[in-house]
Amino acid sequence: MPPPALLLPALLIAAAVSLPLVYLFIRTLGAGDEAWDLLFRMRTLQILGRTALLVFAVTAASIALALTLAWLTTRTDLPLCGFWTIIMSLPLVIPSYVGALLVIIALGPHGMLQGALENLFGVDRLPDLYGFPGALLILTLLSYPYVMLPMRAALSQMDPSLEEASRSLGMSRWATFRRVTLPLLRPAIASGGLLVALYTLSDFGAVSLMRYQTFTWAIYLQYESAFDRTLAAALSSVLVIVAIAILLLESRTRGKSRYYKSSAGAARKSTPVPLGSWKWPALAFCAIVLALTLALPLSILTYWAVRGIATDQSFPNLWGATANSLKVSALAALVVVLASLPVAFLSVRFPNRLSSLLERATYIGFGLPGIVIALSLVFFGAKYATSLYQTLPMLIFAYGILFLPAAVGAARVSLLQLNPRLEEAGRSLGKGGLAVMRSITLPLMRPGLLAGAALVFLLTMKELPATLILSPIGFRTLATQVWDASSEAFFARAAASALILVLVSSIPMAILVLRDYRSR
Amino acid sequence: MTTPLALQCAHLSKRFPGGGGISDLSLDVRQGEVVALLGPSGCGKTTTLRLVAGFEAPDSGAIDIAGRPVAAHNAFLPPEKRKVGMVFQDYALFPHLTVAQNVAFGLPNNPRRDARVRNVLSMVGLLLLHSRYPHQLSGGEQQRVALARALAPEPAILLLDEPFSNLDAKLRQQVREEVKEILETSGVTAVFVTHDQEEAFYMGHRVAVLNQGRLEQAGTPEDIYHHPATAFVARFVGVADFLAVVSQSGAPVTDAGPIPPGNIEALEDGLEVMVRPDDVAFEPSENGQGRIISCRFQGASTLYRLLLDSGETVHALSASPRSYPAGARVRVWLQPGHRLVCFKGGHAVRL
Repeated sequence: MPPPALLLPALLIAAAVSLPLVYLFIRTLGAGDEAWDLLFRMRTLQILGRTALLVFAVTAASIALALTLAWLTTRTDLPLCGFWTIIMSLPLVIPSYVGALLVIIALGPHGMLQGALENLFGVDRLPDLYGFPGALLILTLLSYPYVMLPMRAALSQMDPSLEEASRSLGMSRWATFRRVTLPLLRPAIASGGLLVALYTLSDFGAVSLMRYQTFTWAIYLQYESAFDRTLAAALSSVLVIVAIAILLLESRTRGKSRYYKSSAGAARKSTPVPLGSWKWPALAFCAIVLALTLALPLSILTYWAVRGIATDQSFPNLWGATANSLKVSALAALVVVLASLPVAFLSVRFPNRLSSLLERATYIGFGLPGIVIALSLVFFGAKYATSLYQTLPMLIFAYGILFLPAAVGAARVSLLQLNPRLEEAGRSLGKGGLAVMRSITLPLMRPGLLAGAALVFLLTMKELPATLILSPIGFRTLATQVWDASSEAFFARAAASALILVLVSSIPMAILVLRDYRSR
Repeated sequence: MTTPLALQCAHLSKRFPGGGGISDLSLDVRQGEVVALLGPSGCGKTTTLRLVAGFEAPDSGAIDIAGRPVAAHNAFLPPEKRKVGMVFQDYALFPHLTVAQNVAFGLPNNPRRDARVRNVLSMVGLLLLHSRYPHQLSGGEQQRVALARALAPEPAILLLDEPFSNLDAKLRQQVREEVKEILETSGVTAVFVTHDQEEAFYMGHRVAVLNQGRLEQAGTPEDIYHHPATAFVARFVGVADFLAVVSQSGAPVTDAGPIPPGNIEALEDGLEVMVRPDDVAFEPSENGQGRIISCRFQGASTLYRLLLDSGETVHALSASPRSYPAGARVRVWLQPGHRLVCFKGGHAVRL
């Protein structure tokens, strides 16, 4: 039986994170026929269709891109392999609204590419990137690491003798890839593809700036413009159902056969495939991806920020927004990691039905769009907690719901790796439960908790829709600054904020990447 | 008429950057023969197997399979074109396919396929498990599926990489017997890798002993045991002691007593004789020339380590019921039931 000192906080946390969402459904159902009428109008179906199209296209494109890169970096003699491996996961620091800003600056109607082409060839029009093509480009380039990382892990952990067995049974390299490698990658593709699909479904920044009306953007417009917010609530409920459907789909694709090594053989690396004359196209491909996801974004942002300074443009509130971003991110990291501890402890050390239920409840934020969490908090706060509405604690609470899964995950992993015999050894040497926790458990968990904190910090830095909706009046962060300036076409301002945002985000990212690299 | 060769390796060399590999290895395998590659870990036996299978390309040398060159200077046939069956150490069963699908994997998609799958599965006694997945099978069953999968396409040669190392000791003996029977039924030519000399002797018609990338000796198990070509082989396949041979009034003598006549005709300097524990006899005796320093009870017999007054140690086997305490003084003499082998500089010499 878990001690009440652990059970009580865990219960409170689980209840707190699930309340707003429950209230969202109550509110939607309470609206009665009116909400249903609104929902079943043509427009909702259009939004659903557009969202589905984008989710499928981004997921498919990300899987194709990630598969190529993962295979090149794990299975071939591609030069600079370690370098590509680290670099390819870095797009995760770039938020989608920064990606959208870059597309507008570089490829938009009066963008840099068009300008250059006009000077050279007199081209005065480029194909319009607003809408679907722009959103697809941005989201694919920014989300492919979600599927590449599990694929890389699966490819490098795969027993090389499976592929060798297929070769010795008369299958060519390509047939082996199709009939053995690909089926074995299916769980990695499914779980990574699910993350990409959820990322796309939740994305607000790219679709709003690209003016492509998916659920998130439609919900925001409805929330901003209409006096009655019932439709916004109803649309949010539909979005939640779609997200849950994707989660269920993933668990069904896992199929009947289990994918683990049939026995513990000697860990052997597979022989790299010699690329031969394909080396140069492969290198060029990696270089193009690197340029599009990292080199070009950073240079374009720097160019615009410097140009803004050179032409004496004003950067109102730049340092204030930076300070605010740092403040909320650090606060969120601290609060979320602390909140994750009771839940993680309970589920690892006292596994039973209640503790696993509480743990699952904290995963509500995983896969749910930020805008839905923010809106449900608005509805809940306006009705039951008016004094908290549009205050900093409310904003941190929203981050808590959104990012608690990441922190609970990190804490659970580090607890699971910790041998309970160590704690028992501490007890047998005469220390009490709390003393053991302080002197043994927490110090050993520290790297894992630090990683969790870094992740929450990074995610909070990048978060846009909840920040936009729940920030106290006049409270501006780098994220809202970039979005506002981009929507109003103040590109130098947007670029300066975006540059600082990306640079600050790369600190926690570096912690995470280095940790991952060292543990290999 | 001589049996045609199923495998011919000529002067194979393969070096790896991190060390290991083989050098100048030549080995022929006749059709229907089962050959064991025996050696300590890192001796190059698995490398040899992987070169034959085509997973690695030799630095130099040539490989012919069933009279067809598959690896030579400037020529390399990929694994899928070699008609080689491979049973991997960890079996490498495809986890996403059923037993029947695994076995059918290497077969052409034609009407005869299902019959062949049934045929092979019944040969290994797994017909009833055809729709199971690999993780639902025991280690021994997985082993047999791997064997069936490799045999199904009727390979020119079957390669087995440490086929029994993943089984626990009890199961190993049983699976060994089953595999030996399957190999005999199918009449397939096979080369298998092992570090266990007992396994090599039990399964192999011939045994090839490798050490540090070189072939030390290839021959029948009896040959290898009783007539080892090098001191390494002698020690690797069993307990062996080397005793210096000196002349005592013209007759060859060791510290463990005189060498019975008929073993050595001509005496040379630096000559050593190899004795196995069953060649050495002893009895308790206060004025003997050695004493017992340790004994190892082995069930039917006991293995004694004896320290001779000259400083050499020698092992002796004694039937179990009698037992002698460590420290007892003993008289030691040589009592070989066969011709002893002499060595000079680590290599066997014929005298």
